[in-house]
Amino acid sequence: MSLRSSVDIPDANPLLIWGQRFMVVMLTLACILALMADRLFPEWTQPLKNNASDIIAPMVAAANAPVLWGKARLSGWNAYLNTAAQAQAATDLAAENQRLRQSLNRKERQLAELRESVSMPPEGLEVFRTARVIMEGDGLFNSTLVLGIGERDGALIFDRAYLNQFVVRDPETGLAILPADPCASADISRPPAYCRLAPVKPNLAVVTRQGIVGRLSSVGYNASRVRLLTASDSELPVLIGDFRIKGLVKGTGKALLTLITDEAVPGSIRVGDAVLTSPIDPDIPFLFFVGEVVALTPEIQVRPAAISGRGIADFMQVVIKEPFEVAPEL
Amino acid sequence: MSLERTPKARTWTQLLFGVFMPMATFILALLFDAVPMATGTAALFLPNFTLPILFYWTVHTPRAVPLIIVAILGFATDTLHDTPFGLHALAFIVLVLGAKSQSRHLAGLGLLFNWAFFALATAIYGLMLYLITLLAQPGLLGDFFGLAGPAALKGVQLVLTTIVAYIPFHLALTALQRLFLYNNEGPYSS
Repeated sequence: MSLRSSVDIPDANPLLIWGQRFMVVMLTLACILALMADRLFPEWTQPLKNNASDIIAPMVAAANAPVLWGKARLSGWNAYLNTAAQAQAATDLAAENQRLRQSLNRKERQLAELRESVSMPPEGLEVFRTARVIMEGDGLFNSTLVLGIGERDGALIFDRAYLNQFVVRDPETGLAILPADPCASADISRPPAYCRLAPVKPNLAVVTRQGIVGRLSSVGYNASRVRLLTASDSELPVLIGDFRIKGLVKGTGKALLTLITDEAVPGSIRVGDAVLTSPIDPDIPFLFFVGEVVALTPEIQVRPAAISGRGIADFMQVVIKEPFEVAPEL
Repeated sequence: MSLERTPKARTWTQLLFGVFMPMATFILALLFDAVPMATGTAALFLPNFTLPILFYWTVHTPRAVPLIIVAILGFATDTLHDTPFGLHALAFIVLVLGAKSQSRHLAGLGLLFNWAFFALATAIYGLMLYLITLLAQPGLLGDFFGLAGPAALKGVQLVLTTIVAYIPFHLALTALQRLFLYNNEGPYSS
């Protein structure tokens, strides 16, 4: 018994048949032309793909919602249990956080003075923004990720020149109590005077707990595409091993990265050495784990710590780096 | 009463579902192919969602799968997966033309024959994707053990998981089709 559709009518009209054949030829030609254009003029086709991805991203994110819900139900039950203990732990952590903030504030000022005395450039401020992986393209020869973070997101950074306005004094000890980030709850579309907007922009680092995944290659309004470290056009300045030898890891399209360095003396780089990010690149967080050396010959190869094939993680973090401002004396 | 070659749509709902249900399932498949469904080892066993659905509707409702829609679906897949523009569009068109050419026979046959033909079509589809990419990037051939070899293994794994996944797709879409296109009110019910 067939389930052939009732809307299927036999093709009897010769004109219709020729029309269909014409359509087949034209569409095949269009595909071949598109393939050639993609090969010869990638600077035209890539923005087209990026814009189309940006438009489709909200739909994919909507399709992702039930998947995430299912995953949370499967793996997250324990996190919702024992809430009383969690509340107490949160109170303790907040008190400790306050103490550490004060200490950090003093250390930052000392560090800034020391840097100034040796003419070092100021350190960058790193803001970690969590982004959901909303699309995962998995071609035979390439993998690509799209994160649900774009121009509309960014991060509001507190302008420390306004710090004295937000500090309150402990009536007993007279110590300054630093506020929680006043910009955390501010509206990003209308930032108050004491907050400035640090935008999500291309080249920012994308990281997971395991290490660096890649960098943003294009940023749309809703979504951003990630160029993985393993992509053939990817490069990252690094420091290698205990001696912090300067080098450059390059993606090859394969699972392993190639490491290039002209500073190594024989024996200074060993299998198992950690590879960390270098401060040379202003957009990348300093001393972040990249991977480890797995082979020395015929060329030095590095296994990336955070990329293990399809399905790297559900969430990643985009590191927004901004110039650091030292807090005033309280 | 035979269900074969019914000349006209029975009701407007059948016509509506006959056209829009395939489209809706195409869009869902396209989106779910792009969604990161699983991480780690589980991700290795994810099939392609678009292929079984495209194949099923092409065999069972060929008129509801116009080539222009197939091409758009392919270009959208290329956009989402950042693969060369036209790659999936071309592969989908070849798959659909093959399925349409055999649809008159396949629609009357059972699941096993459909599955066998789908396995063949999917293998050809995978081979096409692989070869077109190699042709588009000739440097890859010289690096077979570096990049092209692992890509071939990845292709085989994807083809095998997709072939296995066809059976539940076929059963689900058959049930959907029976529910909306051949309900018990019409003369097509057995």
